[in-house]
Amino acid sequence: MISMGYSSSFGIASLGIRLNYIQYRAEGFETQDYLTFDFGGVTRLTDQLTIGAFIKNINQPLLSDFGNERIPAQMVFGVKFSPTEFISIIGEVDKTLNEVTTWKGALEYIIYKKIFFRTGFNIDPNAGFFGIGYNHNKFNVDYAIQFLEQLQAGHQVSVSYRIKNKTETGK
Amino acid sequence: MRRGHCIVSLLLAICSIGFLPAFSQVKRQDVDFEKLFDDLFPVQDLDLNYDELYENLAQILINPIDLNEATHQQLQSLYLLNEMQVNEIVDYRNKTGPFLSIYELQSLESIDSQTLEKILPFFTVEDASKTMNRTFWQRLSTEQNNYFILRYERTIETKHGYRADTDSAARYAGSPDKFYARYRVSRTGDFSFGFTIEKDAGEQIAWTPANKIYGFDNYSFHAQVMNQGIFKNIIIGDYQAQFGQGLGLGGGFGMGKGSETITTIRRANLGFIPYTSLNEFGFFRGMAITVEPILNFKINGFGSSISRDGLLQQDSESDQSFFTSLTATGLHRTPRELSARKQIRENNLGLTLNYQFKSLEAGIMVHHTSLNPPLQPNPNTYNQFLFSGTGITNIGSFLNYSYSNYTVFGEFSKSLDAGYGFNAGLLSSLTSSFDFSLFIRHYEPDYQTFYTNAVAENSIPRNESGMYWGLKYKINHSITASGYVDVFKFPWLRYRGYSPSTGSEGLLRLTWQPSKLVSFFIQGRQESKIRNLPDNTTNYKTGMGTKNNFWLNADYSLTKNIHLKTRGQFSNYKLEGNKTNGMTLIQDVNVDAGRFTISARYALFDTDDIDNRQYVYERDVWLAFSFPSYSGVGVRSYLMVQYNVNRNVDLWIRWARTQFSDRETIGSGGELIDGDTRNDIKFQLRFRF
Repeated sequence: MISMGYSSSFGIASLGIRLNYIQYRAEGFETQDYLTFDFGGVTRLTDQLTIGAFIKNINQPLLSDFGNERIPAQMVFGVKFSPTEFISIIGEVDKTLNEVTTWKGALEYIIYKKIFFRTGFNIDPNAGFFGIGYNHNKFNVDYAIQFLEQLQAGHQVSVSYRIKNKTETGK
Repeated sequence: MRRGHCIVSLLLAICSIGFLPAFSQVKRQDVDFEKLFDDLFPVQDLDLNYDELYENLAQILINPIDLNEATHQQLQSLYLLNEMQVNEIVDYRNKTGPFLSIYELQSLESIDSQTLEKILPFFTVEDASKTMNRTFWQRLSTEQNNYFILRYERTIETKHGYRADTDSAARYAGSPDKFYARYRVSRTGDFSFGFTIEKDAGEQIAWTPANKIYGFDNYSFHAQVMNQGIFKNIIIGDYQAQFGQGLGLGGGFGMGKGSETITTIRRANLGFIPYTSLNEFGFFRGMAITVEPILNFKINGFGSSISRDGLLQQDSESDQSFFTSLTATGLHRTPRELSARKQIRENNLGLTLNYQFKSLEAGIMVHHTSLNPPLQPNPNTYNQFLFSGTGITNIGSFLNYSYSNYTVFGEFSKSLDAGYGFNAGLLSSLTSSFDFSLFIRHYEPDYQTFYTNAVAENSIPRNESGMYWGLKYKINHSITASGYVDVFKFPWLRYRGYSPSTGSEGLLRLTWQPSKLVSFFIQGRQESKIRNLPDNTTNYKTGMGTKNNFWLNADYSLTKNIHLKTRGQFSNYKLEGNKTNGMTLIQDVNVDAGRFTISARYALFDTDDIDNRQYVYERDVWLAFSFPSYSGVGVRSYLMVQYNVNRNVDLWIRWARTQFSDRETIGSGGELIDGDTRNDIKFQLRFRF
């Protein structure tokens, strides 16, 4: 799969579009190529409220004529609300065509200066998450533990270092 | 100087609350359970006798807390104060000395007038100088916090159980009158004495010592003395024990998931509490002692021996008797109910060690319950892990700790030779307007406990793990948003849910209170749990059942004395494409007219099935808790008059009526009433000495 994207800011909104080239190969079947389009945007309505939307596979290319099977479209809507500068509450609804709707909620809280506490949940499938993050200049460490419906607890760690500091725009 | 400032602010506080009586005559107000109920109590959808369960809780809540003596834990135990408010009260006390009056709370920054109004009835400030030089007997004989209640209730229509032509197996032994008498005198942190006498409708008044019947059906008594040297608490008679998170030792019924999304998921470590309720189940009878031999270190020991109800059966092979379940209704009307009365001997012994330092509290406990004869539930797929046998011993530990605006808490409990359970949580005021709570739990299918009120989706903490997030956000001075999400998992089968499963529940409420006289809220709740599909008696198949509730409520006052409440409750239940609905519309009028207080309701209800029954709080006589479910199609109304005869005597008369339009008879068995209407009357007299 190869992707190509473009994004730009228009006032309070940031919009992006992405073009994907997907190649499927399966033994005994001929190789198939598809082009799909994704579109997304984030709009900062007020200092406290940000909304976002993301649409994947807008064009829904036909996978096979058999059963009229297509790569399903997916839409995600999200809202971020920050009652104070230390707290962000995020709500999200995620729908892939022909699958159950997933609801998500999360809270991020700046405990102390650069230490973040995060927790959230999924409904359908049900899951819970806790995380802690540390951000110092260009250096980021995040840790998360997740409890999924059927699986045991899972852990995730990410460490990142930003080589070039992005110029602060609206963030 | 500090004290001077404090008195000025206190006077300002008193003046600013215009409706309150002058300082010299301040008498504790009665707790308004109607308001409290909407704010605190969980959403009800279990088939339980909520009247009696909540009455017990109400009893604990109405016993006032001394604002100057209350620990961090006790302040939290009201469920009404958030972490920031609790901290500010404790800090204020440490800095400026004891509170002179409860109205001094008004001068605290985090306590607004709405909160103050809500919490006032729960606190007292004891004037130590008044009692310092008086003996215990003088304090006891002059205590004003006392009452004696006489209550009478009866259903006007004749139920089949009282008719001579009814089959003797279904016929009630006694009259349809319900009698009830209770006396209590108590002084916070000092003593409490009380007794309760009761006869339910259909029970007889008889003297047959052979059947352990001595006049009335039910008696309860307690005597409590507190803070006598190293003896911090001694109770003889009926009592409850509440330690840690109530997982191993909890007193009856606790709060849980409800409109108050933050404080109700935590339990306070209250120790031993006198039991004064009507419910004939869920308490200990015997003796409980708390001693503090070393500062901050407490030893709590208790012993209890009580007869429980259960139908004895005989094992045909071994000739041993056993019983299949404990009966918790407390009703002894029919020959069958009477034969189950006091057949089981239940003994309890327990010990907890408790260490407390500032806001840290930690403890360990051991508790043994024994049953004679043994309990042997009828074998079934869903109750494979249910307790069976003659006794169980639980050991456990708990921890509560508060730091800044955070409180963490948790408990672990293990049944010897069986499973374990634990829970842990966090409450926090992230900012002055934003509260957050987090709670996790894991209770194994074979964790066994008889006395518990831990937070759980099931009615007892067993066969469940889950995670809960709650938040409360005060958007501005008049609008508050609160909500929670709970996701849970049942690793083993449940009653009416014959497959391991997962589920979720969520609630959202918006409260708008533009003035002291107007309050409005909307609330939505959704719950998804699996259930056995109907018509599947042999090969159980389960499906996801989803219940939606939607409530609208407005409380508003026309004048200072006329208060109205308008409420709508709507629900639906979906299971495998099948959808049923229910609703009720309620109009209340409450009038304060001098010595009279009049409360009236008119309500319509229309529900398709039991899943959509509407539990609704009703005003009732003082200390009675009325919480019926409206089910079927019909009209429910009541009228209650309270008359304040004089300083010491109050009289209540209540008449409630339900008229169904979807049936010719009401109830079944001995409770069957011919006709579509049921009338209930109630009288109560209260004396205060």
